[in-house]
Amino acid sequence: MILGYRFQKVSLRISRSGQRVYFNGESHKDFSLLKGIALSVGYDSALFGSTFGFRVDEKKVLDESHEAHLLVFGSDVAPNDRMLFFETPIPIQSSKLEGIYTDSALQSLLGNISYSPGGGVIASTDVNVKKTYVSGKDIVSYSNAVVDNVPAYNAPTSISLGNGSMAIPGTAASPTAPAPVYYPYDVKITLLLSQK
Amino acid sequence: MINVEDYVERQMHRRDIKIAYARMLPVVVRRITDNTGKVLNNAIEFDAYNQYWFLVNAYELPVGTRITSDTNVLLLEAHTNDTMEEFWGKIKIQLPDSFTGSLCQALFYQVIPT
Amino acid sequence: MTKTRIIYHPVPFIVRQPLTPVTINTVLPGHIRKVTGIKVVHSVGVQFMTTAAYLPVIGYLSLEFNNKCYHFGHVDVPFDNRAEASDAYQDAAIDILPGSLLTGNYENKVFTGTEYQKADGTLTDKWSNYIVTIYLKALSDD
Repeated sequence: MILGYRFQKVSLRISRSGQRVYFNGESHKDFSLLKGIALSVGYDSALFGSTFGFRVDEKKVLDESHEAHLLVFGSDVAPNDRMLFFETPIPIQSSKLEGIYTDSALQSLLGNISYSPGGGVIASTDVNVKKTYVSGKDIVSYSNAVVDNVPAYNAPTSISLGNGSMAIPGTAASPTAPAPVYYPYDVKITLLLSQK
Repeated sequence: MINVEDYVERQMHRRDIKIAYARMLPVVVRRITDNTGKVLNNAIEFDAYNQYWFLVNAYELPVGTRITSDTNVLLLEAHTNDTMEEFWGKIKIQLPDSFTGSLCQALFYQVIPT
Repeated sequence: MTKTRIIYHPVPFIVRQPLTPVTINTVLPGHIRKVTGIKVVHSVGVQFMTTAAYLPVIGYLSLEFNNKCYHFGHVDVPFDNRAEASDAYQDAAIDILPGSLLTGNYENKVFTGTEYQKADGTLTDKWSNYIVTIYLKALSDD
């Protein structure tokens, strides 16, 4: 007999600065609601400026520019609360779950000078310019893929399987990170599934 | 040059707000100094709650003037164009330190909704 | 049949000068029906200007919804680079007209001294542009 809750976990490995990692998976068939999501990462400083987007059945829940540090909870929070809970749970039924984690995504926007002199709203096309989801059917045989530095539409040609082992030093993002971030680091995504 | 009354009329119409009363209202900001030239006051603050105030003469105010309100903050800069800025709530007009005259007039179009 | 579901919609904006207020003028996606929570966070940039991990207020944000018909009011924007930063959303219940404007303005309140921007208006190298993001917890029916 299955109890009422289940924590489903996905691991990603970020091996260099500015890297973008995509995963997809399927929710457990016995559970009908997705009630919460949380990230855990070894280095606090790795989180600032990194983003995490999340979709269920190809419907956006977290935008790709959603900051990862908002999904990580510290030691002074009770384990029960270490999660972003959805007040309106998301209905699932063996649903396709997709996420995309981008290391140091926002830092690269700081030098942007295309706005008015005082600053202003950053267009979502600027934020998400390199971060469009890989089309699900191109990548269906992989559960976890590194998709950075390739336009989304030809992504499959340069996907490397699994935990990306590329060790090219980052060039794009992260100008003068004050606290060190050691690569590679792991990101764990926990999903709270519930039967009702 | 934008016609103030037309512009405001249209704005309010689009937002489904009926105008009960509207008028031009000048606000004079004085710069008061003591004998040594020290600035005692170069700002004015007043209430405009539940009213819309449209700044009409932005181009006549000194560069560096800062107008703040509940709904808007405006810093006049050399490149500021003369779009009509809208204010609501506690309005404060702050003249820049570089302003050396004794008074300055800001002209508003005050709109009181029904 | 469309089902209403939860979505988190970020609206990031960049602050490029200490004294100039930032005007926010953007259209919300048409599928957003209702905003149930708001959170405004500093994203990146301020950590290059301070060694503190937490500053209660770096600026004030005023927000209006529904083509300026509804003034939500003012929100303090904190700088919180601690891992235990609060994830709580400020409660709201704003019915959104489809495709309406989100407008507002942001005033930077710290780092305003002459060591960041000289009297002639040029920025010093102590100043760093920073990004603030408005998160809207919303109900969507796409």
